[in-house]
Amino acid sequence: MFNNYYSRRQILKGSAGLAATSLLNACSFNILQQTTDLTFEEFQIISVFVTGFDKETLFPPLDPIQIGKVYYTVLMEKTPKTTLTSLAKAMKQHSVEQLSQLNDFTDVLGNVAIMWYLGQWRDLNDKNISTVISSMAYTQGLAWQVAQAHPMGYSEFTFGYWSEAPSKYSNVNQGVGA
Amino acid sequence: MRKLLFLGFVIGLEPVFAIQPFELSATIPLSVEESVSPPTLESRQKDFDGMSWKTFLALSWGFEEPKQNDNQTLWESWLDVSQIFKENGAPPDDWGTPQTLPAACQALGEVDKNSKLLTQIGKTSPVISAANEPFNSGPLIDQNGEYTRFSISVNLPMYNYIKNNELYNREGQLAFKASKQNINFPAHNSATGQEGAIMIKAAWKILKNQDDTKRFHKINAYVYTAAENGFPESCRKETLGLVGFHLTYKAAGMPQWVWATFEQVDNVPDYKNINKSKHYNYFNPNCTICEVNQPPAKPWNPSVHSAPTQAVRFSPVVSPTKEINEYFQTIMNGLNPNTVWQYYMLISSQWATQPSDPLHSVQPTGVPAPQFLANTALETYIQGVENKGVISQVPNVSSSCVLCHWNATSTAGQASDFTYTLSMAKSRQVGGK
Repeated sequence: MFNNYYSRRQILKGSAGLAATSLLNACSFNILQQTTDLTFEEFQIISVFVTGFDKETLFPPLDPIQIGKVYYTVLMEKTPKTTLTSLAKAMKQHSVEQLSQLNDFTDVLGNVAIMWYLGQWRDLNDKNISTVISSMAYTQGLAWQVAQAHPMGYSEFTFGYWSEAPSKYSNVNQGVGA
Repeated sequence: MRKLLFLGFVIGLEPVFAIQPFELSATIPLSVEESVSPPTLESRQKDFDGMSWKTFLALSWGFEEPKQNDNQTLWESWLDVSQIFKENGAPPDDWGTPQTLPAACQALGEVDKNSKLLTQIGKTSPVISAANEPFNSGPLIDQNGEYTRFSISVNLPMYNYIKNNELYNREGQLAFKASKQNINFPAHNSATGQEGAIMIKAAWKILKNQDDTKRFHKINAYVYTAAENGFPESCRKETLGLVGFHLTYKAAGMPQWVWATFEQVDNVPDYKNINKSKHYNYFNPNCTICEVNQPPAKPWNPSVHSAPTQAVRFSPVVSPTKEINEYFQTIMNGLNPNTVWQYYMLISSQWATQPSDPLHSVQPTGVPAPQFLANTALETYIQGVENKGVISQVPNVSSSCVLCHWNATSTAGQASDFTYTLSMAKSRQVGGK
């Protein structure tokens, strides 16, 4: 039924990004640069890394929803200023992959992945508390697309889709089967 | 072929998008022009809005006599859905056949073949129909206490597709599904010049003393009310004005269709911009206790005067679309200062930013823009939710043409290519519904 779904490779890549953010590393990050804000472009780089999806998919050129900008705003509002400052400085010197292996940013990078996949913000002080960011975010979670499923109360599948076998995953960007 | 009128010479009119010189043409545009490359969301919205206006005028403007103030439109000659999905599942009327009047209307005397038949609100339906606002959310009652009426019609390519595939009755729809075909109405084809499917849903108000009839496109119609809930059947002849107009066309390369919606400019005020001295069709500026956008209490009886709906527009028309409206309205006024068509405005055009084969796509609705779109005369009660002055809209709850119509199916439970009309099909069986 659905030919342009995401490849296992893509999903694994996203999972690897997620896993990397949760790996604890003893070394602490050395702050060398001046204080700056995390830019939207840097947020885009982080998003691509932690989700495994490419930039065109996460931030389409014609994007009426602009959920990425919503997530960026939430990140900037909910994350302690010191953490954001450290992350912004670190982004100037290191790749996201390198940063993901540092303790300092495990939670915040993990939260970026959670926003994209689930449309939720996980409380940085209590990881048991998550809140849905908005009604639109509720519908936009990548988890639903990857799983070929839909959140309760919102679906773009056709009537009776459940009676058909799910399709094979394929690469949404290249349009080829995995 | 009707004549083209070249209108690029309107003095003092600044072009707001790249279609200069604009040609008022009876030819329906088949594909949307790309005015900016690479396109932006804003430039593309203007492109689609321009195409919607051109399509609206191609279908509505009186090309034969452009100096007349009002005219019979092309789309009013199309078949009404009641002539396609007949009570006994019979084949549709031939193209061009007038509507058959109920006995109650025939009893009024000599039949006026030029008058349209409009059904009414009491015959409630669980699906979107010509007789009600979507989801049976309630009737719309104007400031004269009269119920608004609706009509749905389709163009010849869409009619032919339904007829040729016997999608006009339940048995035909079951057979179509069993044949493993997908319902896929023809799209405009800019290479061959072939016109694709177009659907029209119009909302009409009965014109009374308070209404300025010079500002409405008008029809004479039989306003029919079926017997229901203890209310008797009735029919009367009235002059009605066009207040709402859904225009849905399957443009080339747009499998999710393009959804444009127009309104008469006097319908309602914006929620936060009310002109206290203006006469609105569906709003009373002097009412201090009227709750806005609330459907009337049941029972609904269109035969008696009822408390008017207090309707407002929750989402104002955005500035670029306003500019395009002014552009076209100025052009029409320049052609004929008394034309009724200058009193209509585009609310917006909804289009897929990522058009794709909806049956084989991870995003079958194509990520439409704008996300939400409502006509105050057609989706009065599902524009959004107001709470302490803040308007919020919720996916699959607040009005969105594409998201809603993607749920449409035939009576066989097959996705029906964004139209609910196929769900009106009856069975060929005797007494079948």
